[in-house]
Amino acid sequence: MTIFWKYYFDCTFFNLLFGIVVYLLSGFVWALILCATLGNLVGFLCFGYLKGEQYSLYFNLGYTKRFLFLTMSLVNGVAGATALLLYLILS
Amino acid sequence: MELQVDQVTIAFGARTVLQDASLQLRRGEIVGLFGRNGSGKSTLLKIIFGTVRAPAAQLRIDGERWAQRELIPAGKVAYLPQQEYLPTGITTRALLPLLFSDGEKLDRIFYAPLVEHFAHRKLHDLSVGERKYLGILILCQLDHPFLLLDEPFTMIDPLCKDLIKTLLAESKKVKGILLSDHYYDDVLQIADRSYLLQDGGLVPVAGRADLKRLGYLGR
Repeated sequence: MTIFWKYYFDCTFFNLLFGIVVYLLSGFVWALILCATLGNLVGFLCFGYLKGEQYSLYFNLGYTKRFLFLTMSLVNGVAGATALLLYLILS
Repeated sequence: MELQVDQVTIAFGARTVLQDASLQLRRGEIVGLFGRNGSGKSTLLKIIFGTVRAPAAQLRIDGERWAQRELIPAGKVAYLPQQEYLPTGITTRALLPLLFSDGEKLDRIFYAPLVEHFAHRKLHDLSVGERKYLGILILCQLDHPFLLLDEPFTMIDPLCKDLIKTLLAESKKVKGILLSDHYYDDVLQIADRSYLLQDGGLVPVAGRADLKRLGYLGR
């Protein structure tokens, strides 16, 4: 599972860039919501375009694209929902 | 253990690349795969690995049928692609513990020839040959019983080639290895048997004379 986090952080980097753009255009709440949802697809597509050859490493270790994408989406979905909830409670 | 691949047919547009190709790979042997550019060698390897779909293809391991999509999660076949597949912004020393938790496997890689010279450097600072050597070292340490190598000798210096040959000869004790490369002398040297991919099918070849006779090499 350790190498999964390498994939996760590589994709999340692109997701965060996307989040910064959304934040500048629409504010924090939308940035959080879109990072936790659409941002996963953005990260997945950017990784595939810029680092797609690295998928062979993950395949060799038994990870499919579907598993990587769904697990990343789950992690970001839970993290995003938690952060949004905290933000709403605190504000 | 034996991998049997049958009825591999695939076309790209109007061009049929593989037509009912069949191949057998046993643990304990190295099989060479030759073919001219565009003949479908890499496609065949990707079909066996499971990243290119060929609906009619039948894959069996010890007689048991496997769907292509099952092979990656099951960890049956490892694959070295032509292009570099390792992340480059990380050192070998930092990467390997992410891949292996088994200390013995880590030691086998860290104490392999040459590795100590580049283990502390980021992969993007290594030569192409060093990265490819490391990539093969990693694949050889996986538990997968079958290993597919696409151009393992390309852009590799003679010393490193010898190391790779030694590594593959050692690995074949526990794996079946299918390798494709245009460096036919290197392949013929270590392969137990070989095929030429021609007109979509696999033709057995015994050596350089067969490669000449079948038009892969000039006469």
